[in-house]
Amino acid sequence: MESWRGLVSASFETLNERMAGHWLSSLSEAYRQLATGWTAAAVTVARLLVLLGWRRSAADRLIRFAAFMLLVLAGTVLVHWVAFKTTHLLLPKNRTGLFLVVLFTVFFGAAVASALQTKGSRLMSAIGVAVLAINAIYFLGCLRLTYFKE
Amino acid sequence: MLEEGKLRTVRVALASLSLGLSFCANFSFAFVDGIVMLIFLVSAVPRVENRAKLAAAGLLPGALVALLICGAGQRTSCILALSR
Repeated sequence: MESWRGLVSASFETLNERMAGHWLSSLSEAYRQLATGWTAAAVTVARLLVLLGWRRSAADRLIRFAAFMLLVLAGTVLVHWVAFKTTHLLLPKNRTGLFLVVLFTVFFGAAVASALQTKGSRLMSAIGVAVLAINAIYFLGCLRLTYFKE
Repeated sequence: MLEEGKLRTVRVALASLSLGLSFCANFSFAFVDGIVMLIFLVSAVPRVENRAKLAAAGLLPGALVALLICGAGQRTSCILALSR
């Protein structure tokens, strides 16, 4: 749980008041709380997209790429968990765990892009694009020139 | 044009090189790099005849890059520690 909180707080930094304004900045903590739910929903949607796509067309390159990313994500989390349970090696947190965020973003992007190519998954892909767009706007609001985390 | 098996071996070698650089960038990437290389090797094994060459292509470039980049830093630290 500490690892998860570290990743969320490192990814969703508080909004810069000069970029986003005072009113929006006050909402950043609420958004950060929401981001946990967002991520869980996004993972579920992306997994569904991959599973649906896999059944539909196993040859689709994007689906295969998304499945590869999912495999890497699952494998890495499993290895970290086994190392934590057996040798008490600490789980990745903040800066050391940021590769998980990148892997997840690439996986999610590939799943959404593969869904865009099919008619049946238009709604899911629209939700996926909306999630990515909202997060991109949030990250723009986090831009700073005089501050660097860690 | 390279044949399928050789092409895969070259791809695995390039992946190993990239993963070696990734490991040097941050040691906490070790597990994810290992998993990626494992998946690459497992997926390439059925399509490549010379498996010893494939294993070498998967392990040596990455290990060499890690030794060259991180090894140099380690050697400097050792020399500095010994010279005190």
